[in-house]
Amino acid sequence: MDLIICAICVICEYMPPTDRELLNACREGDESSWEVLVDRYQRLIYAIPRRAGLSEDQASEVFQEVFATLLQKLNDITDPDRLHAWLVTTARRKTWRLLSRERLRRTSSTDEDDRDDELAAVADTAPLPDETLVRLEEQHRIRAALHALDERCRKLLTLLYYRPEPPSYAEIATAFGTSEGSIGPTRARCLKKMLQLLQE
Amino acid sequence: MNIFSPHINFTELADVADEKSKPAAETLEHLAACARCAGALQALKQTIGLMQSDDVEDAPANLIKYTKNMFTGRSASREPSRLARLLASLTFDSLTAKPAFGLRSGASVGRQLIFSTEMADIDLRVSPQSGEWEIAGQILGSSQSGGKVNLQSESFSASADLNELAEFGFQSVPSGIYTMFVQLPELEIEIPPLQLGH
Repeated sequence: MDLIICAICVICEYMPPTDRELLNACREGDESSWEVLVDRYQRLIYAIPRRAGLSEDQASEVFQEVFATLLQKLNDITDPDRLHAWLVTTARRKTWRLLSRERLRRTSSTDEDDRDDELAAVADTAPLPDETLVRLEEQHRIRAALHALDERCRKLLTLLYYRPEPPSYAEIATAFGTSEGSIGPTRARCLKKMLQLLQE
Repeated sequence: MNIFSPHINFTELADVADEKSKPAAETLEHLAACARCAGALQALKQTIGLMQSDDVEDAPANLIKYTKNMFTGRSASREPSRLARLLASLTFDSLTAKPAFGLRSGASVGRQLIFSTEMADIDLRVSPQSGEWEIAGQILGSSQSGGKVNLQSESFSASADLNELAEFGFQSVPSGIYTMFVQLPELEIEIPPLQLGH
């Protein structure tokens, strides 16, 4: 029975709305789409300043500014399919600006009026290495694919791969109310579906 | 492998990727010779590795809530009108080491925040006042005269008119999460949620 249910779940996949669909709905004033967008990107946008070495409070500032800017520019984004890139670029820029300001604040005591000029003169020291960003974005894509899987697959893969100490197959089988022997094949089926989603 | 396909079945590939069991010699031979199976195994290993190493933290729950509320405030302020509406963003914080969205009640000195839009800036000065808060502000860069500022939380709301210098002020504001709207004759500006106190 479990295998039949699971097979059906994998076929009848819930496909989450695309960024384009969400952005268009936000433009129409749909609040729930805005919430989905925030949930979808919160981890990635918060991680960018954090990985660049900013504190939790500073990362929160960047996070707020990124989404405030998105709200301001909802109607100006010409290619909604590139929202992901737009958000990442905006988060990187705001992170860089905050880092530069911090650096200036520590090293300079000149008038605030001169700060913008000095800010422009500060070299971009690449606060977030490209390989770190690539890794963050790949992990974001995988999490997005995970959320597109049916609940059973999502739970199973989360237990197996996102826990520091994953439970045994026997423990998972008990929690799922199924046989231990079915866990391996179910996991394989879920992974296969995830790879398909990642390739789309 | 099975009788229907010359390739390794996915469950076996997942076992190899998961290192659940030592692959059979026949499996290893096939992987060495078959680009398709080797590629699938590589993709599996990479995906599993990225999941296992994903230690990215969630943004704080209250921050997510505020961010979602940005849209609520924006929607709530909508009404049929010819007014231009802008959402201001924080461009200066006198205490950048402190949270941009929060002012702790333990703070003993005032704090200046500047929110900017393409048409005007809002200079806010927030300071503690006997367990509550005093907010003084000024609209900068707008040529429009007159207007008012609305300050609102779940349990408190107040309105202040702009004087001839486009200044405004609020006294005895209790701690809370506030939305602020600046209403000028032809322009309305929303300031992102502002947390005073805890």
